[in-house]
Amino acid sequence: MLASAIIVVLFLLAYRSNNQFAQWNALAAHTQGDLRALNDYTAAVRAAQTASVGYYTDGKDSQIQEFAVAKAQAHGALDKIKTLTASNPDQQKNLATLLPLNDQAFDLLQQIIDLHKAGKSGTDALKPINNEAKSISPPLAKVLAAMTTEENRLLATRTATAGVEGRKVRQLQLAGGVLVAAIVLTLFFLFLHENTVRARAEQELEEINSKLEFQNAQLEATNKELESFSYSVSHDLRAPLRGIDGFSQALLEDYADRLDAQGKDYLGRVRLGVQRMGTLIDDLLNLSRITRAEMRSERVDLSQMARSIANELQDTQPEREADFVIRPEIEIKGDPQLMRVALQNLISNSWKFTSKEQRTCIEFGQIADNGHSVFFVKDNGAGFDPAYSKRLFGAFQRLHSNSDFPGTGIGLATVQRVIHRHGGKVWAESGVGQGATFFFTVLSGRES
Amino acid sequence: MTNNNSILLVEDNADDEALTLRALKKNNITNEVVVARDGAEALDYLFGTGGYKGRGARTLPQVVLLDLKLPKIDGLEVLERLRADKRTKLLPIVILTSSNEEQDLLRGYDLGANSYVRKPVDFAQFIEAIRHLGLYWLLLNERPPAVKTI
Repeated sequence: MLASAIIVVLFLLAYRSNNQFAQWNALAAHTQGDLRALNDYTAAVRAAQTASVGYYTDGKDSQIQEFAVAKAQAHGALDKIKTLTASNPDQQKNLATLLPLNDQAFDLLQQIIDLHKAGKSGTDALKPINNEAKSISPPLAKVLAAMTTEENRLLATRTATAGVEGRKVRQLQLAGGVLVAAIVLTLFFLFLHENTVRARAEQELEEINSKLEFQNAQLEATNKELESFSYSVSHDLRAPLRGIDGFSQALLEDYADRLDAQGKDYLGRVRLGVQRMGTLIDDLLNLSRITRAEMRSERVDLSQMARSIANELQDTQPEREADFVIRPEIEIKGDPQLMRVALQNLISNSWKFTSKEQRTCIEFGQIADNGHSVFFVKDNGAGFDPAYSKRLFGAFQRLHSNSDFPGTGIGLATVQRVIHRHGGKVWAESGVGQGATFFFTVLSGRES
Repeated sequence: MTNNNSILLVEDNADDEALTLRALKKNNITNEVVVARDGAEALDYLFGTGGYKGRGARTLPQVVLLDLKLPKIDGLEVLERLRADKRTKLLPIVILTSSNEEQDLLRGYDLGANSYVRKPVDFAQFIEAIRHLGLYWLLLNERPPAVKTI
């Protein structure tokens, strides 16, 4: 910006100086023209004098013509001087002196010619004219000298000024050139520097990228491994279980007569163990699926979801007296399938741990905490000892015996994974026999 | 080409094979059961190639019970090859597997499986599933007409 401003100013200065240089040069040429015209005039007057005096002695007609030519030349020179000095008052004043003297001089020269034409000759006849000529000759010479001197002075000044302006132009041109070169160099170095910085940044970015790519590849590999692991668990671990259960059943059916009550009881326990392991495997698979599942992000009506889960639970045990208090129109942005899994686990948990109460009360609601929405599922069930609340969300962690409340301990771990995948937190508050409240948040609008 | 009332069970696990046969018996399903222990054998049997060269691809079973995880050629590829062949294009195929992975379900149906049943761990439930399968595919379902071949 500044550089271009400086260049513009320099350019304008150079332009102005160049103009002045041209002007002064023109003026100097003009003055030289004046000087030439003055010389021409002097020469013409001399020629006229020679022609006039020559005619007086020799009487040649050609000399009359020469006189006429010289006179015309003198007048022409005067006209030129008049024009060229029009702007110079001093020279105009000189010219005003010169013009009548000139007229007188040519008048005298004409008189000399006329004398000869009248048949006069000899120096005596010329005496009066000579006398008169003597009276105009010095002022004429003086004024011509003055004019010449003035023009010479002007020429000197103008040439000098033109020289100064010319130097200025050259200096400005030089300065401009240097400046432009400096700017170009600066830009070049800036460009080089910029390039270096950019190259370095690009290199760093590339390194980070390749690191990320590497980690991504590792993550992908891990995911693939996890997937094939889950697949194996799903397929291979279940097959032997099916065998154990199937053949236990076959024993019970086909060899019942050879088994006593205890033998049958043992086989029954084998089968129960198998069932439980089957459920564990399925729960584990579901948990891994929660982690692997693609996340969608859309509007989820949690209230409606909670209502439908509540209805399903009530349908499984219609005899239970239960109040579901569900605040309407709680909406978030998230994955509907995953959120349903989370909500299903939380409300089912409440349903399970209130099974021993006379009247079940389960509430789903929303509170505000520092401007953030916190959702909760609250029940009047068995509750838990807050000392162990941290273990709640670990996989296969249980705070109640299987005989009190059956379960695999995977539900809350699943809830936590869903909530984490939604960028939220989950925690619980309770006391033994005081019911439990599970809170969770989600980071709405978070893209997975 | 003709049809018969047999069942082709494609199963590599001997326990599962025994349990399936038992479940069929328990449900009084007396149709002949042919067992192929890997994907290649299943294809050989159906197309009358390899070890079944003498059999000739003349008769097709009423239904194929196809496991997915198989040695040599896996279940999904068997399905793909059967669907690509004019003779077995319409053959009723039930995927009977331990897996309920979404990818297997999608791929199975995508390749043209007629049904997808997950083997329950609980044998009682397994017997029940086999009962339903037998009832549906051997009695209720009308099989496609036999494909005319030269």
